[in-house]
Amino acid sequence: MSMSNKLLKIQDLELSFKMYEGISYVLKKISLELDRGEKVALVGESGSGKSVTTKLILGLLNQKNVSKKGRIIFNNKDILNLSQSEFKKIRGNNISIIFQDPIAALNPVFKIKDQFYEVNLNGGKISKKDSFLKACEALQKVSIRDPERVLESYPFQLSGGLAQRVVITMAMINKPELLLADEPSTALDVTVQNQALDLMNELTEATNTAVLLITHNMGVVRKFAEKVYVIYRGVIVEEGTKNQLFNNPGHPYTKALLESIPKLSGDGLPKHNENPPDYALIKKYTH
Amino acid sequence: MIKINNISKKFFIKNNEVQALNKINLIIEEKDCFAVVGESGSGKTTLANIILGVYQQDKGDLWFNEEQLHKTRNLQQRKLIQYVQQNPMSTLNPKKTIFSTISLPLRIHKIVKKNELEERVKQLLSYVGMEPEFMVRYPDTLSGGQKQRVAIARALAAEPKVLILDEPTSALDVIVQSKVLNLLLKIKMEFNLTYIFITHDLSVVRNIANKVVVMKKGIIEEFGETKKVFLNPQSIYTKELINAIPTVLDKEDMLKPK
Repeated sequence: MSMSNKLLKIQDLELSFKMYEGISYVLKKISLELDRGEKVALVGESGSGKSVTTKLILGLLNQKNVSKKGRIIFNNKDILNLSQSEFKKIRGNNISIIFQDPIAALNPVFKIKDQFYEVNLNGGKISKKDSFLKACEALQKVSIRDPERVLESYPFQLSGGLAQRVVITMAMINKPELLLADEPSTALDVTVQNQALDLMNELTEATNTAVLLITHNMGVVRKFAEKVYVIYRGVIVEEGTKNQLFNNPGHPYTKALLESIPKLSGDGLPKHNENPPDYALIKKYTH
Repeated sequence: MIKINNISKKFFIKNNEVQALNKINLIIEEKDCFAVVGESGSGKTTLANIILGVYQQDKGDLWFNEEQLHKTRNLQQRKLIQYVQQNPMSTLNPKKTIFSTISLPLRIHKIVKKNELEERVKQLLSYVGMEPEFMVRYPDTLSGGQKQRVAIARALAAEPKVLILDEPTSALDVIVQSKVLNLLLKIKMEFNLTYIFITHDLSVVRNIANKVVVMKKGIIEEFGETKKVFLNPQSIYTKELINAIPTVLDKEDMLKPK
């Protein structure tokens, strides 16, 4: 049935932070869905609530000043208010994450092999030697020619592109059902960015892993995603398939996002509306 | 205006020798928007640092009009070329207010009298589209785009002839990016500036630069007018770079080289 096919279902999710200045409402009833193996993008600018959504899915927002409502259903189970010990079983095994800056995502004082060991332990008992071999094999698969050297290195000894390959491999080694990719290619060069996206595509396809891609770059969305949600100040303003969104954007904010990208045709820079409307007040557009 | 003559630079990392720049020859003319493109490690930033006088080149020489520039420069020479860095979060001193950040070059280069400082800072902020109220704020209370505007205002304060922009927008959102780019173009016209624009974002280059040089591993792969290079790239590497641009329109895909 279609019901069992839904891997992740977010329903009316609300999030607010209590701050010194008052309450800041970050997510205002957002809903989104991911099927197994589906590639979905969540697009928006800084401060729109993209990254906190991934943090909620991973159970990383538990501070006293956080208030959350709604439901995050993962594998037919509401995980929004799970305890940390239960989340520990999910993180790295069922859901894993890739962060924006690969060098910052790796612990600077541990060698890569030790960081792989930690991830491998997640899948059950394993010796350091076996973990090394497992990591070696995984790195070889992503066409890293000298995996032994990489595993014996510290993060700062790797280039950005190589570090991102390592991080992607690490995230995928336990074959998660869902991969959260938070701006996985923004810190990289264009050519390396393409390679990183291709690699993510390849690995997730092989394990039928669903991906929630967080980005502000519509070009990356077009290359990678099948379904797109556009988020603006905590409100989802448009949703649709990739083709619908790119060929026929309905919401003014989506249009603004598409227009603001400098085009290869060289027609000059996009002009800007100095006083844009509050896009969040304009009705959501569903294809 | 700037003549880069046969410049080479090597770095020694542990026992390895890295040739960051290998016999680079370039001429940057007045009012150019000169783009330097390449992946990390191609030598873009090393080149910028030599033009700025941060590094001394091993070989070759650097000319500004009729004057040869070395690493040690007098105040007048330093004033000519200013720099806007990539990461707006780390380029501003977190302990200084925006006023003292922007007024520092004014004081160093003695551009205005002490009692006119405040007026001048207000004026500089207005060039980059910011309100005078920002003068008393600290960098961490500003957004990324605002910080980058402050960095641009600071570079303008010294009244330079040349601005080196090192990935000025790659840390910014697309919408903010295109606002900052529009601002840079406006300022360029207003102050008759020459830009050296370092980036790996080729779609930006296509829209704002008149000349482009593509670098790879310290060597110039291709150099020419932007339009020509994009329509008919000669080197394989340039083609690769253009093909790697994430596009949003079908008609853009047709423009990519085969």
